[in-house]
Amino acid sequence: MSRSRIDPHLKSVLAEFSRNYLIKRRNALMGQDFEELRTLLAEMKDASLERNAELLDRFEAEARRRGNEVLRASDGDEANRLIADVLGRNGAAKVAKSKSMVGEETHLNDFLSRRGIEPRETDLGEWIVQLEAEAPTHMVMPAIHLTRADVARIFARRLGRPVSEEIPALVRIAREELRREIFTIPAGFIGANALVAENGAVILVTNEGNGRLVSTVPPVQIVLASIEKVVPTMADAALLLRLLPRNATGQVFTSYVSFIAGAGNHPRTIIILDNHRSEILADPVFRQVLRCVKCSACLNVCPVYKVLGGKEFAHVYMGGIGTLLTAWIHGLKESKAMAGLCLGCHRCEDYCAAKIKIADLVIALRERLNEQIGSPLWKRLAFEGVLARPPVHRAAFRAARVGRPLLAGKKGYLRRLPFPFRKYDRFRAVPAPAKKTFSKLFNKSGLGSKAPTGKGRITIFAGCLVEHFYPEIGMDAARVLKALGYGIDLAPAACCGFPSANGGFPRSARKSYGKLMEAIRASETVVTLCPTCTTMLGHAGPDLAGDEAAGLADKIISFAEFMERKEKKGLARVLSKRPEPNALTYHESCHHKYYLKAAEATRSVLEAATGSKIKDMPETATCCGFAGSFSADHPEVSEAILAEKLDAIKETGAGTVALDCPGCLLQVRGGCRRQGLAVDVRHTAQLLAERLDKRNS
Amino acid sequence: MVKRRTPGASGGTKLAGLFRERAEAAGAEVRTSATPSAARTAIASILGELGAQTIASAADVKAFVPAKYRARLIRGNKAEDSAAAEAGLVLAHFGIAETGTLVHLDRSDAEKNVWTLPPVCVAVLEASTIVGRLEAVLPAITKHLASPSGFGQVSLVTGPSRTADIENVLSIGVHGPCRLVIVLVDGKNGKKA
Repeated sequence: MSRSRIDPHLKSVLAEFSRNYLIKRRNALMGQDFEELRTLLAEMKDASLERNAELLDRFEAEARRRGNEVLRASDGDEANRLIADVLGRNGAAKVAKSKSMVGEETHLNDFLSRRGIEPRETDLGEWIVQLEAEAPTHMVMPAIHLTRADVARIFARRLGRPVSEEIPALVRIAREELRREIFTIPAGFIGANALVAENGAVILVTNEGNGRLVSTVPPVQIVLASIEKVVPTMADAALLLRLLPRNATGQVFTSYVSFIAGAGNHPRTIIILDNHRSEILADPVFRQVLRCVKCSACLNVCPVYKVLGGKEFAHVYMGGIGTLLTAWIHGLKESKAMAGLCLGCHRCEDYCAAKIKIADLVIALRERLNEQIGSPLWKRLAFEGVLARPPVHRAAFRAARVGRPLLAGKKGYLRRLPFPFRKYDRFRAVPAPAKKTFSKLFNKSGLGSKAPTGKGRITIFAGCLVEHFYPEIGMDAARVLKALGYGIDLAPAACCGFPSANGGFPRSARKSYGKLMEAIRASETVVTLCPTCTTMLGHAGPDLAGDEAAGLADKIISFAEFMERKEKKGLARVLSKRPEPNALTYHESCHHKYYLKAAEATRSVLEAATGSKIKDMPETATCCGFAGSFSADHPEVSEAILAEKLDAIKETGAGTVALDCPGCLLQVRGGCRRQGLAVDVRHTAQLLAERLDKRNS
Repeated sequence: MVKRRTPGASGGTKLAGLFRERAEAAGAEVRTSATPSAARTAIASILGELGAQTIASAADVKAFVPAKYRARLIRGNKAEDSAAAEAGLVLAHFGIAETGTLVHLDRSDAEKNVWTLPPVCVAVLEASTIVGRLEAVLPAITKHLASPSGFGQVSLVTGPSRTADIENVLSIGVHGPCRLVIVLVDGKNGKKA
């Protein structure tokens, strides 16, 4: 990937857009129980998908009863042809269009233009991108990538005269130009936000009012909707309307919501498009993709979308949900590059109006891509040849330790990489492997004494980064547990399987996890030091292993959660409460926050141990840009995301950053070093161990 | 289930207050009148401020047309005529308090034109027709949509036309009305739709 994929202006526009969105959304959801509403919406959509064929038949019958024509299209070409036929039948050489992502999906405008029919976009953003011969870069804000100066230039070209760059003046031009044309355009085209089976109503949700003009003024009317838009009743539609505007744009309600059941004075043709959605419907894993109501919340909070925008992270549909839709609608191959752009941070899943497990599904998609399209040799080697084979894995790190004197520069970091690799460490110093592994240090320390304790034994699973790069974190965790009175065992130093699972290599992941599974079977409690490993051992691994892993997931607990749930009093006893000298801020690691829901546990433990409040950084729960192999695949994106994180840290003025993930530690600490920031980056276990009373440690 | 706002004894006034707050938050202007005749006076002054020579309107708002403006009314049968009018004068059939939304059970394209095309939309809303949530007017909406012989369309209007398509900056009046003025009538003797 070349550096030019990141447009700095766009990046700053999207960052501000995302910030504003979060504020507006929070206000709009005040007094609403978002979790409850989206659970209801997901259940309603699932139930509707279950009866999709029946509901479509009912919709069709009801819409016909009210004088509408209803046609079915199996693919995009057929839909385009049907639309062209209706226009041709009515002698329409021009059609006024309201925004429709489904129309984008079928490339309707190109199709009509080739047939000599002029499509006229009327949504302001759509019209702007149409005049610029571009594609929308956001599902709700099509022209988000263009500045007012761009728009002025585009309008000036269209009008053949200079145009003010003031936004109200530009909006006025859009109004006047559409008003000039709309009364003479013979046909109107709209999409649909929902189809109501019980009364054949099409629901259209808009803000500008162009949808109302287009669906009222021209005598010939066309609606294009995809099959998953159908819901059983008006009450179901009302639920959708309660959530959609709030989650999409942070509006309590949009300016216009139209229910169009009767054909009124004009003939109306409703075209219902499948375009491979029946295949998604038949797929038990991916079916939930069709719950999507196109609110775009997932885009608005996606760290990668925020950096790259919807030109780079898109085919027609954008972002994570777009990756999934693309795989079916436009073909698996087209989704490959997009699938590689998902960080797997799971943030989108917290915001999705329909509770779609977007990041999990992208991982499942990678598996299909690897099987059906193929995967890079280096990934196959790394995952299948190294990580899944503990002896090979250990030998690789042993070799790295032997070579350490050659590799390591100052303070335990690697020397600067030579030219072709500079992009990997330009923004972040990379640590050299530690001189001794955590296992070795631990075994020598006597912390693993088998002497009986009053409290029983804990198994620590440290994970690869602690084992090979940050053994001090493991030692600190062990010292805290020891002080609390536990006996300590170590799980074998092997890969948990997450990198393979995440890359779409479930067989290698299963192999890695399987070995660990046997090793921890006899343990009572396994405390982990890396949230990503915890996700694997506690969730993804047991899912892969099925019955064989029965009961194992319950033994796994992250260090912070263990302390919060079991040892709050114990910690108060063994720790000397002391604030960080220059204030403490906290980075919420993605798996810790979004998968394990454990960020609050850390906050509570750290605030108790320091006796002071954590100083929150802006967007504390946004990824640091590491995400494992992501930062190797997309170093420029990783760099841009890290830069925002470091700015957020600087804004707090705190001298210490706490976090729970050794991967984030590598990224954030390495970034601080490159920027010369005097900020200490510490794992929660380290901050606790530093406060152990002397007599306990 | 979803939390329900239960109107108490003073529910009507409370709902009207909430409606006003939410409608204003959505960019609408709300003027309150105690009686239909006060509403006519208020409407006359709004139309006067606009210097309105032509006012697009539908039949259902007849009771609220100031005498002075009766001769200047046109129907929206031709879309161009509505677009050329200085104002649209309409009656909302319901108000939804929690979102500040006006509900209109459309009976013709002409009515939709009157609501959408003039630069200013003056909408009369009787306080007695305000409900708490969308769900409370669903039966009326559903009934209106159900009839296969009727026009079968319903419009929910919240604030003036808006866009944020250029640099995510909010602008009013892109394609629909630039102003939505709601005349909220408290008195009960107004003619209901």
